[in-house]
Amino acid sequence: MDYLFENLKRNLTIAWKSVFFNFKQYLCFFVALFIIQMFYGLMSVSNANNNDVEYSHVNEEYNYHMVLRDLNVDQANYLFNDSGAVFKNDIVFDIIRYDENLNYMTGKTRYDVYLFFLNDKDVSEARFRENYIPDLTALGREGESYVISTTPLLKFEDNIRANLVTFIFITLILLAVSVFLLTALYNIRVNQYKFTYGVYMTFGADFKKLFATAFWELFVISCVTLIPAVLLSTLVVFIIYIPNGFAFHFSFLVFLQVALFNLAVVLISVWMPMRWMSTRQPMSLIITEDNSNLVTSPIRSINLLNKSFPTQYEFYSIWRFRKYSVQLLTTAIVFCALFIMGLYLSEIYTTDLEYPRPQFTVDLSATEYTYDDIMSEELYAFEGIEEVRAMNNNIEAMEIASHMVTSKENVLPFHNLVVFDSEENPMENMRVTNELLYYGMTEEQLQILERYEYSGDLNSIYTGENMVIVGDSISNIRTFKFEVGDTILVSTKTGQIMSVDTNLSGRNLLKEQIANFHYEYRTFTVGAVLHNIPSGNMPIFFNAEDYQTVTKKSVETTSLNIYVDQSLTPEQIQTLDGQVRNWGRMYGEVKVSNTHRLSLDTISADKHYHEQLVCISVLILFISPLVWFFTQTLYYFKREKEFNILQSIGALTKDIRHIYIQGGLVMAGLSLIVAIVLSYLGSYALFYIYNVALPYFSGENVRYAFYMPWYAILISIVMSVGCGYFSTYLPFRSYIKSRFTLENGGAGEGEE
Amino acid sequence: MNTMNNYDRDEKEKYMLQTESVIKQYKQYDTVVTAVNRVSIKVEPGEFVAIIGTSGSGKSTFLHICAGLLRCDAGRVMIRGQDITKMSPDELGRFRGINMGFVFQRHNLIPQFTALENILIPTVMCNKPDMSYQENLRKLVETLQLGERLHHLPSELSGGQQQRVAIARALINMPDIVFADEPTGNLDRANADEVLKLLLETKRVMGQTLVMVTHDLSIADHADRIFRMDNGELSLHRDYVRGTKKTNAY
Repeated sequence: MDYLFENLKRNLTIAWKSVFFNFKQYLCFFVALFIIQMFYGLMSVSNANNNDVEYSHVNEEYNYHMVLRDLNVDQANYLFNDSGAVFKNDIVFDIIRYDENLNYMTGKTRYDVYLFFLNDKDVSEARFRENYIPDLTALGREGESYVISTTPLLKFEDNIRANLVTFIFITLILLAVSVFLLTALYNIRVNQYKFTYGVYMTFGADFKKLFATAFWELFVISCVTLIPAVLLSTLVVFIIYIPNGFAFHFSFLVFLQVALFNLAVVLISVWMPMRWMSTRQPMSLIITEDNSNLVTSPIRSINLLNKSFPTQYEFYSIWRFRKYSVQLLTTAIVFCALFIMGLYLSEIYTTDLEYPRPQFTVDLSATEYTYDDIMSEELYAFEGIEEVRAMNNNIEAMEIASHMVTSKENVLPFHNLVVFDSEENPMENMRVTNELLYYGMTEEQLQILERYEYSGDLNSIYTGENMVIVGDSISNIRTFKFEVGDTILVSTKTGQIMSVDTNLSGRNLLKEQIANFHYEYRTFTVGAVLHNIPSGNMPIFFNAEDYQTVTKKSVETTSLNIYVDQSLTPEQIQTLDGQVRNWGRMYGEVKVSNTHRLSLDTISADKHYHEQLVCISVLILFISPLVWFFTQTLYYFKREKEFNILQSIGALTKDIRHIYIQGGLVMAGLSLIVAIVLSYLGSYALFYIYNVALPYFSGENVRYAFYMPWYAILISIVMSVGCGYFSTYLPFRSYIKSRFTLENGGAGEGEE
Repeated sequence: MNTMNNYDRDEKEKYMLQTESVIKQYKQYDTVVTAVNRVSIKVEPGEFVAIIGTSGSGKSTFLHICAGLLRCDAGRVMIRGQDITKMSPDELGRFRGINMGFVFQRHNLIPQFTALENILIPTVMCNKPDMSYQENLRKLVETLQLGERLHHLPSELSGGQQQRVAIARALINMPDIVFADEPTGNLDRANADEVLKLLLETKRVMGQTLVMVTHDLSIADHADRIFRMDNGELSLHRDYVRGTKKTNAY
């Protein structure tokens, strides 16, 4: 035990001395660890407050856990009398209220009963479902059904768990970013201090020792930055959450959380560089110091003090250190790209939050009615309803083995569609796809399309003949350049020569279908093109008649989604809920469900993920100059010997300045290009993931715009170019200063 | 069979350093340079061996291989019977820390550490408890006359003082064998003689084996045996203990 303490004390002492006696060298690690701790501090404090936000909202809006709708009088009485309870202990719920409703179509009175579960609500709910539901079902009459729905108040713990999962997910992402940052910095450090590690290894250091040396240094730094970082991140979160109006929550456990996260980052980050270092031969590390005063490239011999000096000389030097330059550029600028990606993520989050989702869903299938213009008028008459969208008026082309043929000119470059070349219709200039979704639109439903950007006339499918409205994208990526007046062919299967392999999919399936099926092709003219409609498959909107001709199915809508004004208050939603249900009772057994969309959106908005992502992105942006200045300062510090030698053999100070400035400008120029390329690639990767990959798994198509905002790009470019230049200029000033000291009889040069 | 194995083991452990057909080659552009060519040597405990040769003859490379600072391409290097070429980097690092000391020509002190901290680096790397090296440190500081300069940075020391610190660093863990790569190469005559005197004095006090590379014959003359390295090949130059003789294995 004594040995352990002595060892710990000694390691900490050495680390403390190393860090504070060489504070400048370690400054970037102070900043880096501060930023990392702030990342996680922000997330930890926010997470604790998110749980409070969730709880406060659901408590404000709901005072019941479950509602049973459309109960008959026997079922309602069963609950009123609590017939399921024999003993006092059996009482699992309170009835908060009930509504008595008359179904105008059937003339029967139905009841909506609101329940609040007592004691442990999960246990009570389970007992209720086990003991009461079978009896309630038994009390039902033929042709009747009742609906059970629960509120977010009951599912609060699930949401807390979801918050926790989100928090863990974000923790992992931050861990990856932080490890990348610290590993990059540590790699730079070990590269510049190979000599020191070589000496350590000569005198007995193994991986364990090298790792411990690095770990304790960063541990000491972490201890210094922990408290300020957590306090500052708490202040930032406090400012962000003030508008919510809820009490701010802070727990001292955050310190522990951040400390543990920090520990994990440090452990992982120093492992790789030290593992790599420990496998090197000590002499190969020590020799880098002996060779650090190499004046010329070992490969190219140049006339040092002739006209090729210093411009050509420095170009050769840049080439000589090309690996270093590439590493620096990519590492530093990756953080600028991450900054833009972070902003993009925050935009994605906002788009997702604002994406219209239905507040109510209506099912007419148990009635003898289908959705029509009269129903539409009635629903739109309710204040707050913005859109009523028919849901079962569409079919995927693949389902009916159909496809669309269009001219090659209508397809954008780099989209490899199948060439339409069947024996029956050899047309090499035509392209074909079956990634289509056919819609049958009533005139009333057409107005929904007005919310999207479009060209042409949306009513053309009813005012003209054989007209269609088309989208221009597949998987939310623009694929076609349709214009109003273009024609397309839409196929309807009429027979087949032979069946196609059921294991086939995608392009192969389409090719087989074209080869083996008989089709009838109808020509349609594009009447309007929708440009930003969310689309997995490309949508084609027909009028009801053409839809039936192509798909052999009629447009009969029995399922509706109702979208409401997002600024409605919970009370207004409550009123609208009653109105829609009352409307439903006019048509018989209409099932109306409330998705609680607005409440959930309000809760999501109050979790301020958007603001948090912006904060984290800005913090990430600060990492870039850190990498620039840290790396370039060390690099030029190393090259000072070379410049001293050059000056001793005749180079003038202005030549050396030329070398510095040339190096800085080249790096700035390169960083300009790399910043744009990396930012574009990063943004496009996110755009692709969110528009193509995620909808494939989630089934929900939200269309996110491609995001390369000029101000973010400008910040990124200014940051990269500025850092590229100034990270060279400052070492030059330092060199001139030390040169002045040297020439005026100051202290001699040090080893490093 | 066992008898043979025991004999082999005893034979190997009899030598502090033993190399067998060590080869080291470097690739320079399209040509391969053989820096060390099938070199075998046997050094007994407590012996002082000097290796002389012209610049680029491969003597430093051979010394680095013997100390495990470089890996050889072929052959074996044994320190007290243990084949260091078969050790993993970590095993070799630990083994080197405990059993070997190294003095570089350019002394290679860490500039941000004081003289004392530089001396103590091996004790830290090998996790030696305070008690175990205090006495040795006192002796070294006294022998090498570093008492006044312990808290100075390397840049504040003269070349001779820096080399004395490097020697103290090589000896602080009381290694069995010390390798010195032209320890006087950067010093003037007076300082070179002083450093050599100190090396021999500490060797006498602590009883280590010393393998030194030098191009200075007057320094090498203090060795028990002198070898010459020529184009990567080693030959016995002079044997002050057993008389001069030339063989292939020494």
